[in-house]
Amino acid sequence: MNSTMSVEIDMELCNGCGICVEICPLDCLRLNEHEKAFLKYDECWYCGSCTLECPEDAIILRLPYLVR
Amino acid sequence: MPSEKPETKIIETDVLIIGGGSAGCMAAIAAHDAAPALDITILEKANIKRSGTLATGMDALNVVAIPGLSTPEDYVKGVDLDHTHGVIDEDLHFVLAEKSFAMLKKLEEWGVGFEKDDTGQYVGTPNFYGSYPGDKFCIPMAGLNLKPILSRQVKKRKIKVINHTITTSLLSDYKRVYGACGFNIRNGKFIACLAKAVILAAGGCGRFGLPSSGYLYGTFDFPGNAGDGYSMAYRAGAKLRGFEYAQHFAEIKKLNVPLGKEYDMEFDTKLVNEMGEDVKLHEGSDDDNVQALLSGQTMYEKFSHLPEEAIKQIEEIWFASERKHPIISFFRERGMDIRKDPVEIGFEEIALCSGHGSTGIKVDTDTATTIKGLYACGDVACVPSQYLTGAFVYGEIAGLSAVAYAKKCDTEKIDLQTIQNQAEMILACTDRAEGVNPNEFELKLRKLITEYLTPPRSAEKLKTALKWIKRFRNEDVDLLKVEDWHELSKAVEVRFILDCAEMTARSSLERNETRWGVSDYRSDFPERDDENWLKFVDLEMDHDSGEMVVSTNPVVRREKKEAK
Repeated sequence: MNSTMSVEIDMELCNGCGICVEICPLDCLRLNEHEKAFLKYDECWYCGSCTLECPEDAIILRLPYLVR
Repeated sequence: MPSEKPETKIIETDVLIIGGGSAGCMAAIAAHDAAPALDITILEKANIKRSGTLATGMDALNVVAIPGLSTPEDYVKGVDLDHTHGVIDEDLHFVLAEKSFAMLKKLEEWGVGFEKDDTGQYVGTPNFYGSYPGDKFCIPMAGLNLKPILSRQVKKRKIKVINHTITTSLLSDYKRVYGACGFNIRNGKFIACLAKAVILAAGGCGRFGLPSSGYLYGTFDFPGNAGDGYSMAYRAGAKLRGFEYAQHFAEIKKLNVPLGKEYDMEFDTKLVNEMGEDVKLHEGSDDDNVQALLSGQTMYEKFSHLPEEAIKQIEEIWFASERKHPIISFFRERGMDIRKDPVEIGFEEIALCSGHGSTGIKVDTDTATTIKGLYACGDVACVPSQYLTGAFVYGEIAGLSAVAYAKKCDTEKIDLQTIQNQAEMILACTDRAEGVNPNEFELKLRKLITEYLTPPRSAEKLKTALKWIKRFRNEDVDLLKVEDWHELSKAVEVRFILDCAEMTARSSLERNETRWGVSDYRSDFPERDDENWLKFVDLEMDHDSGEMVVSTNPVVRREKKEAK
């Protein structure tokens, strides 16, 4: 896990449903080859939409490195 | 990315809405309800369930004239004293306030909660910083789920929604707008949508100046909006106004989130500079703000002297706001506690928007722009300081106006060559072996905006900005290189930001005065000049030369018109 990223996904909890990928207002997220979500583009506004929509509570929102 | 050029898919609709945020969704709903037989289509860059400025909602409706509590007339007076300072089209503000209560009722019907007191009356709190008679316009709202509520209403009506599609240009012959082009930011599929009427609801320009964090996306306003609508309307031939006004706020430094005005008014917090001297800012006059900006001093908001009861109330306000996620992370990750730690406050980046600012496409009270077939609402339309209420009220009006126009005209014939040329122009940056990544381009451009377009401004600085902007157009744009479709959308967006930068530079250069404090401060013209500048600065494109033309236009007062 990249500690400078603002969206941390718990790989155990993520079920690969893709809801966060679908609704991220800035299109930052994608699913990786193991069908787990990850922050592909470091363009997060830390709005919290993904954490609100995740059915498994697998997402922890942090501040981006430059803001921290 | 595939090397083959994708074909543009052509679709047709009656009313096309660009941007499915608060204004766009409301426009779509109103259009459908007025004419259920018409085909309505929303083009949205993300997914309308959580898109735009209100992805995670809003905690108040700032402009509501509740009958018996406040009046539209008082609102017009208040907005002029507090915000527009004489450069005003009063009709726009009057209609906004007049229709605001019906809008609140509509939202309530859809399940949005508004605060009421024991007698059942809505709780009206001040919207403006000064104390103006009748100012009870801000109604606290349980609105964190506004976007899912709106998108449910859209879905219920089976309105067509095309998500993950950036609109890149409007189809226009400079007399009429008849559709738009774009592409899917996931799979690169190009689309052209022919429409009888088009509503632009694409938001403001959140990515303009650079925030103090240096993080491109760490902006005050929603960074998904890059001035898309301003640039597209300009290139389609519409008139725009107010680009010399920059939204320019002091916020929690780097976090770039407001501390909230509630505590200013209710609690005895203290703002001090590096010397420990009191600073007036949030509740201060324009002069106080300018002084704080020019001093360049770091400022600190202090809470440590407050009783625990007040601290708890302040935290409650923060942790319930629409920006609660970053606020909670901020205090946790910095290990800060306002019981002992002061919070650093500083001026953040400038942005263009009409929700809090004064910038946008020139519209009348029907949301009609100066070009036929094109309507505009929300942050993209120039209705200064309209807040969310404006997005909803004028979104609804835009839906009705567009339907009325669509009913009386046909779709135009599509010009396939123009569409193909545009797609190829956009795709040029997918072919380059070497080049500049859009984020790098954007950093350079926004650094320019920060250094030369952010108040304090001067004619010399603005002229320097224009030289750089020209260079960006002539050299840098052709260096853009992208790796995927998402990045391609960024390559389009940086060109929107570039257009906005030129619009701000030219408008600021025109207005030789300072009218709005830190939003337009000119070191070479630091005084307000009512004799010469009680007028709007407008922009449009000269179709023959492609040059940006600046003009000035009179303000609109209600009394004068009624007297005629």
